[in-house]
Amino acid sequence: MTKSLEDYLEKIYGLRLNLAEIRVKDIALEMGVSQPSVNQAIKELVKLEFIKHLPYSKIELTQKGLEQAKMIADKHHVLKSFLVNGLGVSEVNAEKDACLIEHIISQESLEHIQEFMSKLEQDDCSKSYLQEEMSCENAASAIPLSRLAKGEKGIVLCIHGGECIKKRLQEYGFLVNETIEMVRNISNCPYLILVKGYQIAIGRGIGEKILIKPVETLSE
Amino acid sequence: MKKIVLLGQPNSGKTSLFNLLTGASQEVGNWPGVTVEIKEGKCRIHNETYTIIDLPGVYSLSPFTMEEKVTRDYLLEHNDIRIINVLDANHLERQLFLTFQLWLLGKPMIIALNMMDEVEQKGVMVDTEKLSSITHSPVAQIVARTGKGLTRLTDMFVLDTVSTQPNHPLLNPEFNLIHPLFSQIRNRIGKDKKDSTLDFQAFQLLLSPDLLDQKQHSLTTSEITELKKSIVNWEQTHHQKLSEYLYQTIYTWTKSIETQITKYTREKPIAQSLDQKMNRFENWILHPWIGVVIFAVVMFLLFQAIYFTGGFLKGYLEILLSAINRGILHLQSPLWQSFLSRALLQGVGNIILLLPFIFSSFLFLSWLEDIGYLSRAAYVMDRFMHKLGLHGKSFIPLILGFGCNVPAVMACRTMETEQEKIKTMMMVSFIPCSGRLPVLLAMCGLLFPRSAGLWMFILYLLGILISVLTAFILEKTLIHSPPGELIMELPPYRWPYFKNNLKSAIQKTKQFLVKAGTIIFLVSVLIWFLSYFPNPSDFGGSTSALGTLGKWVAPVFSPLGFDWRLTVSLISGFVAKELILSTVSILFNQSAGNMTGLFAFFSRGTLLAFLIFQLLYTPCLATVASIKNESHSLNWALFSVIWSSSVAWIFAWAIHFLV
Repeated sequence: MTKSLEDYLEKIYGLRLNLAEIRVKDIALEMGVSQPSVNQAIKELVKLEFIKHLPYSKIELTQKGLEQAKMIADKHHVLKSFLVNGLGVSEVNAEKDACLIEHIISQESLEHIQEFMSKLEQDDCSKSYLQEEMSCENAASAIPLSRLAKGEKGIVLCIHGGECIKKRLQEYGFLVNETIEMVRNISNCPYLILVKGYQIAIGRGIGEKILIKPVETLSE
Repeated sequence: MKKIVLLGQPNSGKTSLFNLLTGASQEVGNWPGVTVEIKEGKCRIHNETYTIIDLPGVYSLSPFTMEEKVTRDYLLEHNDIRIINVLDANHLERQLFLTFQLWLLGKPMIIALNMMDEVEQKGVMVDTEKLSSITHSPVAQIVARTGKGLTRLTDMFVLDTVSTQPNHPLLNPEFNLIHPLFSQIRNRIGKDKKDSTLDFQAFQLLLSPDLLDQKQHSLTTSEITELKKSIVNWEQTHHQKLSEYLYQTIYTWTKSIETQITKYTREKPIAQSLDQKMNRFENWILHPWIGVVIFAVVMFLLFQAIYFTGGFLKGYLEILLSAINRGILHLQSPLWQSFLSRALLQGVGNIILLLPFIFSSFLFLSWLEDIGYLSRAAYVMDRFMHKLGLHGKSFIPLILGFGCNVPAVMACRTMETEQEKIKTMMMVSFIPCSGRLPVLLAMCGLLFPRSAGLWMFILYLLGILISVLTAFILEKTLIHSPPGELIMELPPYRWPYFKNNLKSAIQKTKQFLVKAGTIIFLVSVLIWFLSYFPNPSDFGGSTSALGTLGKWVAPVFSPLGFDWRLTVSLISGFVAKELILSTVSILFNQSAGNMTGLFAFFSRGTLLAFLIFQLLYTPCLATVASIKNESHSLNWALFSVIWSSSVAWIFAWAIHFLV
């Protein structure tokens, strides 16, 4: 497939997300070329089975075309975001360069760039996802779970720690505002905690990460 | 054929129900996550056959653990299934958390409220009708342990209940904060395809946005970035974590259902449950030191019980086998006579004699599991595991290892870090599996006829000790890791249902027998063949093909006092541990069950050295292969072979030298 056909396919894919029906004139308008040259390209794309097009009707991508287009669009996106976010190139130039590079770059280089970018993004994401202070505003009056003695109850204020452990704990019922009861708290052994009617053993490390507000229990 | 999938949280009695429905027998796990594999069975109701599938017990469908991944993928990949959601009716609030997620799948669902006997004893009434009208699914009250209410449940199979609800609770007003985000994600992932599970998939992405990075949703990189931005925006606007909001709101929903459908009818329960009775002892069982002593006593009693029951049953099998042997001696052809009595009766027969022991060890272990003791043992051991850079959960694979090392190695997947995984695997390969049991049983009986049970216990302890030592050395040298954190449910004590244990033990023994029937038979025949030819008069002697082979390797073992025949046994044991005893009995022409003839060849010291060597040396081929697969490293597989063989050699040499 030639560079220009790849550009056409990419454009059709892009238009598909915004327009209900794609016609030749839409493509011509968008790309700044004449309708006959679009027609020429469309014919070749039909021959390659990337799109379906009957004269004077809408243009549709085939499954094969969809995959191909998605691949090209992805390539474009990766390259552009590498230039902008990775290297600090300006949006305008990055767009232009990505358009040119995407046709000639080797699969290997692309994969490496992709890997590099996903690492970069991951770092970004973990920053934005892990805003712990958010749910721990009343942390001032809080004490760690480890300070509860056997038989004492507490209300969970917040849970620190990794995303994974946090979700696990929530599945077991350690929710903010949940009342929990310490069943066993003996040094060196895991805590045993009653939550939602179940006894859950949790490691001592986690006990420091769950902040609670103690509940006064009436002794007889 | 119609497929029915059983789903529920761990200890909800799902596996008991499976046994009840299919009549086949599987493990009833009182231990979170015992069943990682998917089990199938058939069930016939009203002239129609159903395939019943038992998926691993999971707390939720967010794919953190292996079990959750297996379950979620199965549900997404299979369209034509019905779901039975098994709930422990004692604690509906948490149990309904899973129901909420299953409902999103839009598949026909039946809700089975299990353990209704316990609920009734507590004086609680559950309004089935109401639950049914809330969830738009048929609801049955059952007691899976005894089979009460089963017909009512199976009658529901024929109902054509389609529970593709127009009004899933996620669309209720209490969830309105996430409605825009939910439909945005749903439209994005649904743009190229029609799929009935889109709601569920969108929900999963809300709960764990990290899943967006996985390929399966066929989103372009820009779309992924867009969705992630929306999620971050949502969290900033609402000043709350999205997942936290979801967990909170779902639990509010489940709590409100629980209050709506349950009602206390009596002030006080009529009888004390086992859990309440055991509560008095809980302080001892979980005590940092007394708990360890109790664990040791329990294990000791376990081995005594295995020896007692096994020995009792073995007597009858011996009578049977010797009758067969007498029959064989009447045969005319010396070739057939030798083949049948040596390859078949001594090779395979010896293993059959051990079936009672294997059966009873499965029986008692599953009994301990069902009563709820095993997870308490893991709790007690957590402290010690920490010293090895592990936590109590690593204890699960180790216990499984007593049955077979292969599933134990596979269970290491559930470890959270790579270091913990490798370390636990290396420990597992020293845990004496049931394949090593035959030689242990036979040799302990031979060497210590009066205190065989005690010696079995000591040898098992030795295996465990070396296993711990290995982890300790690894912790100090190659893999030093900060221990991960334990999160584990301690199930309430429940009386095990003996019929279930029995079924489960029979099933596992059968599996063992099938193994004995195939690989052990083949290797026994091979060994017989190599011993018989080229010189039948010198069976298994130095001039046989086997003799030539054995003598070639024997020098490695001669410092331990082993001759080439014991050497050959050890080599065949690498294929499968069960083969060691068959090979020994073929080569030394020892009758099944009574090996006193061995004293003519070796001293007690040498036999003890052999016993210890086979206990510790390389894990079998299948285990080594799974170590390689699971650790993705040939090096660790080789390490386990070389390390364990060296340790075994040194120990055996010391014993041979000292005794």
